[in-house]
Parts: sequence; C-alpha cells; structure tokens
Amino acid sequence: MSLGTYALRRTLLAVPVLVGVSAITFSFVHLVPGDAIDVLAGFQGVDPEARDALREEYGLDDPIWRQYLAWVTDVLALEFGESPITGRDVGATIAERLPRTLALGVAAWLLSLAIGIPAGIVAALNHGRPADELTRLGALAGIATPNFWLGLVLLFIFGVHLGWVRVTPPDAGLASLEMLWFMVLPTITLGTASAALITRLLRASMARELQKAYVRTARAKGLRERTVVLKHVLRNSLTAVVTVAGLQLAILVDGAVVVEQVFAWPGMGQLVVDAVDQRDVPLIQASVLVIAVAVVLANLLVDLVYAALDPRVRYR
Amino acid sequence: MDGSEGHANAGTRRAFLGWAGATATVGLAGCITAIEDRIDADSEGAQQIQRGLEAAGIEPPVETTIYANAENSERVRWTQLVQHALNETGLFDVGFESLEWSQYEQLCFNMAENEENALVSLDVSGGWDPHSYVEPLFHSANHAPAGLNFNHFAADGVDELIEDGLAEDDPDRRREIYAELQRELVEHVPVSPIRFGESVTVYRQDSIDDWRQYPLPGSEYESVYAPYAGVSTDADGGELVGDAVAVVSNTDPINMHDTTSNMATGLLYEGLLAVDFDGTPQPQLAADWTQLEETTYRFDLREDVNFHNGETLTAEHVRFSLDRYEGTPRENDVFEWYDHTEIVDETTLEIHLTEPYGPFETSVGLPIVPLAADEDDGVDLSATPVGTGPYEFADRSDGEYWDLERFDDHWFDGDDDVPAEAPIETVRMRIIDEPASRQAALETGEIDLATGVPTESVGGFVDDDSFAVERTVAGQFDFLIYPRYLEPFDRTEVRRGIDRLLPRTRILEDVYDGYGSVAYTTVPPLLEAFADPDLEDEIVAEYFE
Repeated sequence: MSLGTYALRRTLLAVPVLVGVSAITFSFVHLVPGDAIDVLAGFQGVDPEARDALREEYGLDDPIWRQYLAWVTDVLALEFGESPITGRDVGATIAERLPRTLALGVAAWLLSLAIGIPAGIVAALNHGRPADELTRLGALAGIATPNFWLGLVLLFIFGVHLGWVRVTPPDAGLASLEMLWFMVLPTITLGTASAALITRLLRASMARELQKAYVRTARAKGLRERTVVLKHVLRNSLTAVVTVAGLQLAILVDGAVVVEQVFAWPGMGQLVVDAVDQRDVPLIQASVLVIAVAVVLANLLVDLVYAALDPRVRYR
Repeated sequence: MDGSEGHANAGTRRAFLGWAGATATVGLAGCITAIEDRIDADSEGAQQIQRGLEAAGIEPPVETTIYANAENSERVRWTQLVQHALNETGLFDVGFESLEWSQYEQLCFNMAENEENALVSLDVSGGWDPHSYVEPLFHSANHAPAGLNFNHFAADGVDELIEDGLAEDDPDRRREIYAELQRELVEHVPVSPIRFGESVTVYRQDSIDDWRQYPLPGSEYESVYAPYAGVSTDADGGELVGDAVAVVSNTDPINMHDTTSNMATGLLYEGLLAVDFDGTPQPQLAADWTQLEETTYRFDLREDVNFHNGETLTAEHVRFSLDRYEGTPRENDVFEWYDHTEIVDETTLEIHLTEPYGPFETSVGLPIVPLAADEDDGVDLSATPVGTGPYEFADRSDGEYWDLERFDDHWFDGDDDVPAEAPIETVRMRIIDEPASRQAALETGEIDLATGVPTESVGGFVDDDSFAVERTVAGQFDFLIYPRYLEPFDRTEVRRGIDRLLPRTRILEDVYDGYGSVAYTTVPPLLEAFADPDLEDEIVAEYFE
C-alpha cells in the first residue's frame, strides 16, 4: 500500500470515530439536568406553556436521536447552527476563536520541541554527569509546576514589575510583531510541561539506544560522533517522542483554559467551559467536533511521521 | 450559571447566584488562621442542637458534609470556618468538599430531590426591591431545579407574605409586610444568612476623575454618564478602559441572562424610568408619570429621542419593547405584572397591570428597543444592540473586548450636574476572567478601572496613592443552606442552634477583610426603606444573645 492510499484510508477511518465522539457528547450533554431555556430564564421558572413552545422552537422536544440526526445533517452541510444562548452563529464564533488557539498551541508545541529535543540529547549523551542531573531536575520542575502558577509568576515579573510585556493582548493583528511579543509568556507557560515531558522521554529512549550494538559498530567504523548521534541514534529514539509530541499537539489545540484565563487570551478552552456551563448544546457539539478532528489529524500525522522515520513500519 | 438583574434600567424581579465573584490566586490566597477561641459545648446554640438531637433520638456526632465551589476561594474559606465551628461542639462530624462550578450547580439544584446530606454555601444578588431576594429563595412555587428554593422550603405564612408584599403598592404597608416576613424567616431558619456584601471598584487616579459606583451587579458602568442620577465621569484623553469579568453572552433584553451582558448594555439601552444610585426611581425616557388607578400608570415620553439606528422614540416603541417578552424565556419578568400598553397618542401611553404590583416603579425600566428589531433584515439585538442610550455599540471581539462610543445624538440637554455631552468618548470593557490578571492589568495601566478585584487584594490599592477605591454596600448576601428534608436538619431547633454558632464576625474579618457586614436577615442594608436596623437588633437580641 502506498503512503497516499494509507493516508486516505486512515482519514476515512476517522469518520466513524468523529461520529462516535459527537454521538457520545450529544448524549452526555442531554444527561445534564436543565437546558438552554433554564439558563436563559436564570433557573427561575418558565411558564409551562411558554416552555413547551420554546422547546419546540429550539427543537428540544424531539427524541435525542432525531436531534442528533438533524445536527449531523446540518454539519455535513457545514452548518453549525445558531447558539440558543447567544443567538450568534456557532461557526462564526468558533472561527473567531480557533485561530487564536491554534497560534498559541502551535507556538507552544514548537517551543516544547525546540527545548525538549536538544535537552533530551544533552542529557542522554551526558548520562549520569552534572549536565544530565541538571536537565533531569529542570524537566522534573517543568512537569511539576502548575501552569497556572507559572503564568501568574511570569506575568507579575515580566509584565507588572519589569514592564517588558503587556499583561493583556494588544489591539493588533495575530501576525503582528506586537502580538508575537505578547505571546512569548503564554507560549512559555503552555509549552513548559510538554518540553519537560519530551526531554524525559527522549533522554530515556536515547540512553537505551546508545547501549545498542550498532552504535558501537558505528563508532568502531570511525564515524564522527555527531553523525552517530544525529543520524542514527536520534532517528531511532524519536519514535517514542513522536507519539507523545503528536498527542501533545492535539491537547494544545483543545485550548488551555488556565493559560487563556491568566493571559486573557480569547481561545477555544474558555469557550468550551462557558458553553458547558450554559448548556449551549450546538456550541459544545461544534467545539468537541473541532477538537476531535484535531486529535484525529494529529494521530494521522504521527503515523505518517513514523513511517518516514522507520521504513520497517509497513502499512497494513 | 449567572442570572441577571438589578440593572438600573431593568426590572428587579430576578435574583441571581454568584459564584466565581472573587476568586483568589495560588500564592496570593490567605490562609485560615488557627482558631483560638474554642466554641463552648455548653453554649446556648450547642444546647439547642443537643435538645433537637435527643428529641429525634439521634446519637451525636451527626455526620454531614459542607460544600463550596472551588473557583470561589472566599467561599471555600468561610465554609471551612463553619465546618470547624460545628465540629468544635462535638455534636457534628462535618467533612468539607469543594467542587467545580458545574458539579456544584448540579448538587445545589438537585440536593432536595436526591436528599443529599449536604450543607451548601452560596451567595445571591437581587435588585432594589426585597421581593427579588425572598421570592426566588423561599416561595414554595420556586422549588429547585425550576427555581432557587434549593432545600424545598415551604411555609404557608411565608408564601402569603411574599404574595402580599408583591401585590401591595402602599410603601408603609409594604415595609410592615417585609418586616413580618423577616421575622417569619428567622423563625423557620430555612437558610442562614451570613454576610451582606459590598461592591468595590478600584481605579487609577491619573486616568479617571471621579467614579461613583452603582451598588448592583450588572450596572457597574453607570457612573460613566447617568443624567437621570446626576452623575457623570471624565477620563484621561476621553477614553476609558475597564474590565469585564466574563464574556458578553447575549445582549437582546428578551434573552439576556447574565450580569456581564447587562453591564455591557447599561449605557446603551434606556427605559421609561431608571433607578438612581440611592434606589429612587427617576424619569429617563419618560418625562413624567402618574398612577391613574391601582393597575394603570400613564407615561409622557420625552420628545425628540433618537435611537442609534435613526428611529425616533414613540409610544409604539414602548409597547413593542414590552410585548416582545411574551413567549420568551424571560416572559415572567414582565408578564408577572404587565397586561398591555394602551397608546394614547404618539408620546403618551398607559401601562395596564394584571394586578397591583408593589415593585412596579423599580421594574418598569426595561430597555426600549427600536422597531427594526422585529424585521428580518433589521437589527440583531443579540449581537449588535441598538437603543437610545448615551453610548452606542462600536465593536466586539468575542472573549476579548466590548467597545462603545459616544452617541452624539443623545436627547439630554445638560443641567448643573451633568453636561449635555458625555465627557468620555469611548468605553472599552476588556474581558479578563482571572482576578489576578485583572489586578495586574490595573497596575500596569492597561485598564483604568477594575470592578472585580478580590477583597483581600483591595487593601494594597487602598495604601497606594495612585489608586482610588470606591466601595458601597451591595444588594448581595452569602448564606448557608440546610438539608432540611433530612433528620436532624428537619428540626428547627437544630437549625437555629447551628445558626447561633456560625462564626459570622470571624468570617467577615478573616475572610472578607471587614468588607461588608454580618447578616441575620435576608434584606440587604442597601434597601434602606426595608432594612430596618431596629428589626435586625431585635432579631439578634431574641435569637442570638
């Protein structure tokens, strides 16, 4: 099977996954007591007749499976509907938030790779030496630090005391220098734990790899250490990292509620939390779908990168 | 969840629950200090509980759990103080649990149906009328989950008094009714009020001239320009940037359900009447009004009032704006008292009520909207509101900011207190969820004022000359809900005993840094006409000393 066919097949296989995820979310949301009408009425009683009329208007009186089918039909036409809570178009709301989340998520992900991979290599090559201990300590601290706390500390040091960055996003385009400068702190906050995780993983898998016979052979052949490490050992050690890094990318896309709150960043995370609180079913559904798509894509990407890294992986 | 109301321009029927109002941050949160003054097991309160337990044939300690929602650190701290006070008697074995808001909400709304063995802590805000506090919490028609009567309290006498208070329009008689109602509620102890809250605004002295804070949530920006109340403010460069603690959800009055949307539209919509900063109804779009009969009020509209979309205000706009609540989730706000509007001429109308309605004048100031809201290609009020107010909608970025700009065609001609033109040209409300970030933005000058600074952080601003702190009593109180459907909490003397043991003063001082006042009744001191200090003293003397 060629890589292209393989990718296509994986993409098609994702469809039942997406259907399953959305069906499960749909039924879970309906298990929660109270609906959009209660939220709009402030949980303070609605005249039964008016309630029935409203339920009909919002399609809430249909059986769940029919509501779900109606929703799926709309989504296939890329119609996400209107939020009963805000009265605004769900697709437009997500379109407003998603770029922000993607920008921050991808920046944090790149940062985690840019720090995690070199740090993991350094640690593995200096196994048991101070550089290794130091990296391990740093990684441990990175994983253990709550990003909420880290974000606030960075905000107070660099925003309030030193005044180097703004504490709320500037009034500028996403690609502007001003905005990129602002994104430094949230990126560090969001990327630290992932960087730490990648460092630890790479260090472990590389240390194992360095013990293997082919490394000794390569060195005995007189290959430069640089070639041995970067061309042979690193490539073989990366498979574990790719799995995790791929999943991390998916996790970053669903928005980091805490980081968004601390830096007043209008992303998906806060949107989803608000939507759940307000029983905003169309918005919850659409957001979950977007996140599910991101996870599926990330997984697909991981599989493709695997194949590129390790030709022994055959597509079945 | 976040209901609405208390708006200067809107009705006051609704109460809403507060939750993350004042969240502290990791590292900044204070700690509960060790309790030195042990509660005497022989105290009157403990004895009352003991008697109740004996009568019920229950051997102490009684096991139960007290809950708070994790987002609200102040609430977490005060419930822990209550937990400690109860355990000190040896009569209870109270555990503590904090839940995320959505789980907590489920617990509160279903506690009675599921017979949860839970003591629950909440706070509630209302408007300028006592009805907005007592009716949702204590009337038997409002049992949760359809209403806010969480522990399914029901007492005929209480229901009757609530209904009498609503239907009475003589102010003196209403005062008597609500005083009697307070006594009844203290007698039954369905919940225990703990503390009346304060509203606090912190602003930068170098950017804002003078800020007067409106006491009710959802009306924080009235101080910008409120001709009806004789209040206006100037800001450096004619631009004001303040905070909003949540996203602006829906700005159409018939679907508005959160305080932030109320706040975002306070300067944008106007009503027939508006309630000023002291709670007195003042003419706004009405030039004058009279009560013709018990259920009929006549309003003369101001002339030459323009909407932001160019329409000119007529009596038809008023009728349209009130009628359109019918069949919406917020129908009850209006149709609880409203029957119909009779148009006398272009600028005169009569509002007919279904029955006499005590809080009419504080309820009738609902937003008047343009007729274009009814047209398919007209204005969509839920996203881009249009009114007659001194500011019009300019721009929004969902989850980021909400912008208003001065409406140059506003009707007000100016008087001794307030200039004809609002001094501030643009108002931006920047949405910042996290209290510590709001504080940081205020310190760096990215916002000029913050309405949502946690009380424990206010002290730092009080000591700093660059900032001014404006505080007022608010229409809000914290309270503890008993599982009165379960033994032994079904016994009044057990609840009263607990009520007496609650460390109110300690909660006020240690948790809220002295902001607010201790509460024994459910009518906040903000409602001066109804909150009688003598009654409060009498109740304290009778039940707590």
